[in-house]
Amino acid sequence: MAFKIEHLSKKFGEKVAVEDLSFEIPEPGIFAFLGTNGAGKSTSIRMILGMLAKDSGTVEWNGKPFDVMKEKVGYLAEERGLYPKYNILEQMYYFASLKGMSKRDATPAIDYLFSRLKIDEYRKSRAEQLSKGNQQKVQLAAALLCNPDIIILDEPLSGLDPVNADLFKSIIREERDNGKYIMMSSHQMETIEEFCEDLVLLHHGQVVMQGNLNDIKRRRGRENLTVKADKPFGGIAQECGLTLIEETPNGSYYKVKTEDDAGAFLKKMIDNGINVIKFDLREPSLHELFVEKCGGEANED
Amino acid sequence: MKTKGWENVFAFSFVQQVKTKSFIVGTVVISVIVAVMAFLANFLPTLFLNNNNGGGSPNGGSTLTVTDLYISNETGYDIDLTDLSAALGINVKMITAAQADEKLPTLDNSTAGEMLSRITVRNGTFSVDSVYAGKNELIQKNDCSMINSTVAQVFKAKYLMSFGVPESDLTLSMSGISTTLTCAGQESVSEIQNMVRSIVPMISSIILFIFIFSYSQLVAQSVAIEKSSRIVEYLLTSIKPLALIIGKILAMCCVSLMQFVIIVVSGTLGFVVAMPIGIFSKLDAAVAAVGQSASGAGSEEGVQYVINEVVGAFSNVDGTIFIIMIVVFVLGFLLFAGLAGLAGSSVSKMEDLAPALQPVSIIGVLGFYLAYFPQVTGEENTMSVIARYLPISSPFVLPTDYMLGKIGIAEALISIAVLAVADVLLMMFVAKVYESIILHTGNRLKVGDMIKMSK
Repeated sequence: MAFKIEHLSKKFGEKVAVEDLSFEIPEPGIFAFLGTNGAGKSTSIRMILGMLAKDSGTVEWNGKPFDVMKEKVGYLAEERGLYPKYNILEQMYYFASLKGMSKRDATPAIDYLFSRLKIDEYRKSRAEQLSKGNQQKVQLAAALLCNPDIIILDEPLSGLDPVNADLFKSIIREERDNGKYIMMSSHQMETIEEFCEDLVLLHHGQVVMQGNLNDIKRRRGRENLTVKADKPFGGIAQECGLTLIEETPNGSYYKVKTEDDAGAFLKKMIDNGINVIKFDLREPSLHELFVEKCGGEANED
Repeated sequence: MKTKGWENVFAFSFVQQVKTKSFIVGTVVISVIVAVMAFLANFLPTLFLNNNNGGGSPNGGSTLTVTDLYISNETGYDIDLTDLSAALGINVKMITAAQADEKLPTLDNSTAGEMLSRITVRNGTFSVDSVYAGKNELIQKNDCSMINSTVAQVFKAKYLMSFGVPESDLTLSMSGISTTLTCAGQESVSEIQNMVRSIVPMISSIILFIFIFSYSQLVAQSVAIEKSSRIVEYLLTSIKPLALIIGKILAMCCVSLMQFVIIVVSGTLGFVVAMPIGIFSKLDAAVAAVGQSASGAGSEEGVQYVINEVVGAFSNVDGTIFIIMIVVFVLGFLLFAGLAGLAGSSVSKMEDLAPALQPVSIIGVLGFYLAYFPQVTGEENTMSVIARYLPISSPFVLPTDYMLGKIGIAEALISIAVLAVADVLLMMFVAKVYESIILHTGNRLKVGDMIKMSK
């Protein structure tokens, strides 16, 4: 089974919202769907879910055109909510009925999810009586209610405290381990690095980076160097062609062109009798790749 | 199937609306008020009857609070009314105009059960002017009114008899004359029927407008809540927008119908509960009383005439009218709820809903006045014909027009067909636009934007 998106495009008037988006989730796991604000993530998700008409492209699930009404899909939207005045449990039964579940089938699923998310006590409450975090838990429960095969999580951790963020993460891991195809969007790059192997990065509606995160990093090589020593070494770094990015109490942060440049720099420091306290040469982080690809611009939807 | 799952939306929306405090309190309060009003409408006339009869009418035999009646006949006709003493059970004394002039000032501070009636001719009309004791707090005004009208009735009867009118013809001579005015080729309609045909459609228009219009606004509110709370994006993974709006509209339509039925049943129950003590339990007495006031002669024929006229005003009351009422109600509701749903989906913040609903309100109010004004004039004219066939006004006027026989079944079906076509066209427009705008966030969409989207 595979979830496959090919050549998805959408224009609003003259403005290109998404251009030729293609990616595939070939096996169960968590796929990162990244982008700046206004890059076209929500538009793409809406097209994938059939809420928004696409100008071109196809969405396939298991080799057939994907129909959100026929498949078991869980969706936690970025712009999410609940009926403020209605009882939480009744809302859950309503959502279950829309997914084709009977009350009998829905009850154990609700019991499990509410217990897992620690919101049992709010069953009879109105949504407006719940904190934002607890509302978010109910929304996640609604997304997972039908035991979906495909789960789309748009900023699932935004606004959560560390305890609840960990709870959400554990549930996401659990779903991944249960063989679900999960597509996750987040601006928390550490979380993405923690969960995802494959990703696509959108900027102004266009794919600017795509593939396996480890491969991308490997291709870029180790270019980030943090150095700390007992004597000044700035002159040597300059001689070796290193670019100083930032001085911090933990050391100086350089960009190196090749790993050989870093090796030559280390040798020269030792030859000059400098005691090296820290010499950390590493691959770029996802955060750095993101900022580099998207140019640090911030657009609002 | 774009409408698959509408029944789930229907069930949820229906239950949630019925559970709202506003619905429960509104329905209970209105039902109680209507039940009480219906009860009183049945019961209160009996109090009036009791006052007339039990309070000492000529037939009643009870003690009146007036004990002495002075009658001054200043008409110049020699008519003696002292025999009223036996009928009323009080002292009756005929006095001269001079004696009446002397008596009148004394009544100001009189504590006795005295009353003075002066019969005069003014501007070619008999007049009975009565004054009762000013300081006797026990005297009931109802008694005085009854005595006053009895003096007038008996005087007039004796006046007619003095010209040789036989007693057997008195009822006819004293009763009012019913009049009708008919345009050649049209059905003859009496004044009473005219009155019924004006009042019933006016009330009916108002009731239909309230139920159709107010509940269609709830559809807009419901759509706007789903958009402003951002729940709609989740819902759309399970259901198509068209199914969502259809489920909502039909749910609100049924809630509205249910509330209407509950109120009607409450009113009926209130009336029925009052039956053992109400006006219909004392029909004979009612006939006499109503007959007196209607025809001035206390005849059973008078009352029967009124009842026949009222019933006769509803020419087409049969099973068909109930079907027509429900069909027109549902179609009218679909029209206004469809418009309101569009207005609701054009906003993404609740505070934008009121201005978004303004065009719908204008259309609704325009439709209502188109339906209402021809009923006020009661005349069949171009405006009333337009109101009958224009989809924005026909829901408020069609049921009563058919019920009162202003139109036949053929015209009713044509009007329903026009309304149904308007609904279908609107729903096609809604289906096209709704899917595009339901996820719209930001500024409120204008009508022009929606029309562009439908192309």
